[in-house]
Amino acid sequence: MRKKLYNFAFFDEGSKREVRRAILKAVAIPGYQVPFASREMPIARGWGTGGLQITLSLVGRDDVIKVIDQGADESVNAVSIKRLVSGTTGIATTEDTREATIIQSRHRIPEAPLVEGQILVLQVPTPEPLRFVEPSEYATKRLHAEKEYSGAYLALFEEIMKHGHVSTGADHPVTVEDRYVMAPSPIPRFDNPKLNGSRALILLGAGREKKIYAVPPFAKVASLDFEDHPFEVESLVGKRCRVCGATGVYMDEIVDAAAAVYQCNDTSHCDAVLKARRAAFDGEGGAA
Amino acid sequence: MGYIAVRGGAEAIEASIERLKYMRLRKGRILEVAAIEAGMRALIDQVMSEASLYDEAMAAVSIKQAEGSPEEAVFLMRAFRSTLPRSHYSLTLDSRDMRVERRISASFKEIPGGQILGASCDYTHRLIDSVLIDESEEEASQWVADYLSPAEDDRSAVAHEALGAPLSAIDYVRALGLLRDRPIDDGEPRDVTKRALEFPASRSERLQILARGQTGAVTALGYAAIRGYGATLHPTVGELRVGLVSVYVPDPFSTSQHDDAEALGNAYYVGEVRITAVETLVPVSVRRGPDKSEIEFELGFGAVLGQNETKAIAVSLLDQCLETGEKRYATQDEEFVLLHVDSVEATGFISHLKLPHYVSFQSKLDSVRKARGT
Amino acid sequence: MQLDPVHDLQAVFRKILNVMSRPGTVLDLSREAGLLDLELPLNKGLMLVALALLDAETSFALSSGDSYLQSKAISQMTYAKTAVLGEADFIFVPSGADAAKAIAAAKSGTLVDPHLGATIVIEVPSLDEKGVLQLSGPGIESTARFGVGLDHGWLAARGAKNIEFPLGVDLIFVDERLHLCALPRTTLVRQEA
Repeated sequence: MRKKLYNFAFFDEGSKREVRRAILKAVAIPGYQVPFASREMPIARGWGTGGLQITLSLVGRDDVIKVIDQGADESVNAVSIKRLVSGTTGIATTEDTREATIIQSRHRIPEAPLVEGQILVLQVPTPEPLRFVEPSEYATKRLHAEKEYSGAYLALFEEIMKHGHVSTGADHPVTVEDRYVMAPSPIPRFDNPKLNGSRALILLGAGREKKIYAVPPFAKVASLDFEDHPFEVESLVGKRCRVCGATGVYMDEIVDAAAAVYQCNDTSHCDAVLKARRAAFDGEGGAA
Repeated sequence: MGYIAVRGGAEAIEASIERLKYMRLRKGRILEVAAIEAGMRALIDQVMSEASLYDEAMAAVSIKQAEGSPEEAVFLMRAFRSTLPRSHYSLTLDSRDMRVERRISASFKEIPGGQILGASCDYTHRLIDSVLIDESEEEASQWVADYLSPAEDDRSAVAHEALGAPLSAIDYVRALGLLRDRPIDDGEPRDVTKRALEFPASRSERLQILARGQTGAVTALGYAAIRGYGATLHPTVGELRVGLVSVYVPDPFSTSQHDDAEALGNAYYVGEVRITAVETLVPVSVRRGPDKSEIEFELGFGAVLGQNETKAIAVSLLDQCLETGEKRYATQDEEFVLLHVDSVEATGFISHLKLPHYVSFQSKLDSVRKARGT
Repeated sequence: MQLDPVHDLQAVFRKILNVMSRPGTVLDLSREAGLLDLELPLNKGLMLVALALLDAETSFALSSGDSYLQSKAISQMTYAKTAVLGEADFIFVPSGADAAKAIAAAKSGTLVDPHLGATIVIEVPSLDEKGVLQLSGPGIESTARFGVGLDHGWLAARGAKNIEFPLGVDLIFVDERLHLCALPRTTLVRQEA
């Protein structure tokens, strides 16, 4: 017989309080990385322990949780995290974005707009947007203190000079409330605009680097750019989902011998569109 | 198909977990946890030290579940540690108040109280002993009975006495006036598992992180330090001690602020733990005037849970490297050393490269194409 | 005590998070306070905030001098240690005590570590979502209004303390009927004439 070794939501109340205190300060100082004494979790560092600690400190019996990785509910890592959360809490899980009260995600913001009453928890590998410019934590803390962000702009400028174009991929840095430059986590540039004026609270957790930060609802979030080289998202021109026919959402490029084909990256969004189209088709008295 | 199916992720995970269990059971032999606890003392000590959780029984279960992988066993222990409420800190323990099992000094031929070799692999010849293949429990019990019988000379008696000798080798060097004068730091130590580390780190945080660091990582950096990539050329082990120390917890409602006699009088004994403590002497050149330098000794300290001698010595070397405040070598760079020696963090981040990264890869592809105008 | 330390304190925390994320929102702690069926020398809402957020790793202060019983109650129930006003992580201001003084004395963090600014929990006569104070800033769609039923000396003290963002203090309000509200340092507060 397996002895019950674990508390509700896995870790002890003291650990939850530590995370909860950090979350509250993060909300009070948007975009600022609050240090916290990150606990080890049953999944590996680098696999979402920061997001997981936030989720487990938030969660109560009435919550409904959705977990995605690379936009997919069925990704092995998302499934693993979902099992851990529901296994240690008994709470309900869902794939429907609109049903969830807490959404934990690695590298995507869902296509369905989030509303008040939902909390988005993003998993962050490298919380420090200046890390590739300055390896020392001691130094980057002071750059943030002085609002000294020329290094970040210089890095973007150099890319433009070299390639004629900004060549960041995902994790394009943003400024929050005109004060802190923040790493939004490796979400595609396409998702950066969703951070601005969000109706839902957005929390970001880096377990290995031991930082929690936040974007309060309706906060002003702007991607770093220059007047003559404004921020651009990934191109969606000519991309149409081969499963549900949607356009204007972030796509996965599927490797195919003949030509490039595309499919909705947000799998539950794709399902929802497909369902709606089938319902409309049946409603119009389609196939007999 | 690859790594993510539109459906089937949960089933794939179930199958993988079952396959893992099959690998552990397929040869038809089950390891008894009690057998691991009895016969794998060194691995248990390593796992407890890296997990920073002193629990031999739990360590044995973790080792069984991990099929012997120290990386996995430490991970299991640390995750378990995260669930344990921690309401108290013990009183300071002096590693000299130890029930000594082993005590040596490389700095002096003789030390007060004597050199006690104790149980160590150091004096064995590393020849694989085939007798161990067919060892029986009856033979083992008989050997132990013979070893403990009082008819022989008092081999076991000394190991169970408290040392009692007031002078350690370090005290002797200090009494000669050769130890670099440092003011006593009685500041409250900080616990990095309860309060996030910020730089510059305090010495207590450095020692804690090194003490719970991955043995291989700490050893490699200590090795680099003495090979030339550090400030500790020609260190000597002043004293290495392995033994049992008693742990006391103060009365939680006491108003006493310090580890004084009053606190000790009201304290509760909670048990004893085996630790390894090392003090290393490092000669340094100190300027005394425009043309004059003198040599003094700096002290490096390392203490770890369990009998983990190589690691404890390496910790004492890195302690000294990080105290110098210079940054000529990576072993003197606090951020470089302290942020990369943790087993769970290092193995976790490296293994995370196995996770799908196709969203950010797709985004980068888009940028590359734009830049090329394709 | 009927209060479940896991589930009921989780509920209290979610309410605190909600009001801190959406300043001007007023929520209700009376269900959880009802479960705290103990004789206490201070407002049960204040004690619920303490139970949800304080422990041996944090320090607190009571803002008034003659508060030994209240201080002891918080210490014993949370294991948190007391500190002087200028160093405490949390400051509790029970009804009648001087909120402006507590705010003025509280620590506001440093530019490198602004999160060290104190959290001040203030008991007020009554919170309502229609008061004379107009709020704007993160967490608020355009503007919101609220009132606390307290003289506005505290407002001036807050303005002075929070003048150099990111330095500042964050406030949590609980009223006599156990309503809950919060003002993070980012909220701009304007007093209607």
